[in-house]
Amino acid sequence: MGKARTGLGIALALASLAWIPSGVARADVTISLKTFDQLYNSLAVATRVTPDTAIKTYFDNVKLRLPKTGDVEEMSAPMLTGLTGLSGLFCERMIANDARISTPANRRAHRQVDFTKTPADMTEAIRQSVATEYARLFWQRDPTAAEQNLIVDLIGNAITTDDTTAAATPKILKIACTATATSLLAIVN
Amino acid sequence: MRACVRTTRFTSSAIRSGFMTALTVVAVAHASLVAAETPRETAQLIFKRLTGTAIHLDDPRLAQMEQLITSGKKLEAALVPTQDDYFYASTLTRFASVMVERDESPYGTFSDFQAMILGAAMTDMDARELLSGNFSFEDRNNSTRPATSDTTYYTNFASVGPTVFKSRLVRKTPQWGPNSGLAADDANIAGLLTTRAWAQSHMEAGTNRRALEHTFKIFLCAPIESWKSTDINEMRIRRDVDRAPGGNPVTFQTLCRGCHAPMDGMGGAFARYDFVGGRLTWSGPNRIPGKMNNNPDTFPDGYITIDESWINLLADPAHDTGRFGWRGDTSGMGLKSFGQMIANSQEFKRCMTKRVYREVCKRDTGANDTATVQEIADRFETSGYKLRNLFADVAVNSGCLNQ
Repeated sequence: MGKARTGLGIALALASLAWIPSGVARADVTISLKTFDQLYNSLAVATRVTPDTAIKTYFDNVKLRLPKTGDVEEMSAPMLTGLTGLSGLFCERMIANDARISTPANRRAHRQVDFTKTPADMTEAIRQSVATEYARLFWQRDPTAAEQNLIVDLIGNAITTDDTTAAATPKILKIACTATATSLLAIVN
Repeated sequence: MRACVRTTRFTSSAIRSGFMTALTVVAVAHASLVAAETPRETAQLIFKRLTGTAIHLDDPRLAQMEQLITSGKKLEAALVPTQDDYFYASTLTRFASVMVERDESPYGTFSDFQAMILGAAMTDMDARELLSGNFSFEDRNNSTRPATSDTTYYTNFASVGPTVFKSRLVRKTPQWGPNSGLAADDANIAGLLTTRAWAQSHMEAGTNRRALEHTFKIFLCAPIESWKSTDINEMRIRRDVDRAPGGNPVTFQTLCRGCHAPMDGMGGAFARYDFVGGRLTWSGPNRIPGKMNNNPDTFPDGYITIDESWINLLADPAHDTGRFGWRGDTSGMGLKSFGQMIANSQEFKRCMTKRVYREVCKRDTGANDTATVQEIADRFETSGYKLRNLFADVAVNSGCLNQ
């Protein structure tokens, strides 16, 4: 398993995504976070996944680590790891759902992904399209070129030589999806 | 880009670790995360603030909101997300949980109290009725009405999912059905104040003073420390309050009296209620629960509660600071009239505005926001105390939108 598949790898990835320039610099704003329930609901809405028992149980277990009031001081490493796990579950379900849909246009994302092929078969163009789809789902806008490159690089770095089957494709996508869903843009209110 | 630089809580106190330092840099450099510049960004931010979820780019409501904002109809735009399922399942549910849980926790399980607030918003009813009305909001699909001991009715209802609130919550009257186990007369029914959840939080054991104290804290945003006064007549202070704690009458006069004089004056409104064995109870028109006359030997000459009469000594012209803006009767019999007094006060609308601001904008209002709070509160009243309007109005406030 490559290093980018570890929790640390995902954390680093999302941290990278968190400070991507995307607009006008402003210092006169108050930042707040989504609360525990807002994070949960946002993931459900973005991925269009109805939480199953496993997701509900996981959420119940990490709920108290997620922001209670939305105050930015509630941002912490335990909060981020809890959210990463939660995002991972939603992403996993969304990817599995999409993989079962034979008409790509009907998928939530992954419209250019061929789930019968290996990760290495995902071309640069496919990776870029995935990056755009994730950004639109979790950030509600298209990614900048820099943001898109980061997600594309993340996918590339996650591909390892020890798992070259088609079964690895959803796993690679899950890493990119989770990182995007847990980025700062996705968790601020 | 504006030139002003406002030091936020974020930048002033959160820099405690390398991580937070990095985060601060991020926020300052890329504040567009939460600041809307274009009509589309404004629409997205308003939607996110009101529902806690993002609106998908393909969602036709986004274009609708964008169009309204472009046309200068920002408030109308903000009313769109107040029809979203998550406005009820998330925003209002958490808003109500904080109001009813004893520790003001947002983690409360769904209850009759929360259902009533969701229902009030959904039906655009006058929010003042929340403190005096004889109604409840229940599951349209369930013909069995909940009893005052029922602990599963509302949690089961909420577990159906986020779409259930809008589709199935329906107003029913009276608040407690014939098989509920509670037969209080109309004068003693007071909306949220006679919900099971409120009773469980504030009427279990004790002396019911907690219910009074929390009514002020939750609906008038007035912790008791802010309204205690040792100048107020002690005529209604009950027998269980020692007039010379530790043998020192000065302690009573300078400390105890400050809270008990106003509190016990109004406490009679809750006199016939109790929460015993997991059940909200009403003692009937001829009996007072023992908790209201506890420890009679502590000061035998103290006030004896014999009925549900109450008097707001804070409204006495000699002591009224004008803070609460009382309007209408300031004394009465039973909980309904007491609830009406609270809801009709000027402070009620201001308090609701502050609570909504905290919920939607994720920050407390401060001294700099006094004028804004008053303006929004006045519009809340003008709109007929519609909660949806209040949430929408707060969400479009420039301070909330970081504009």
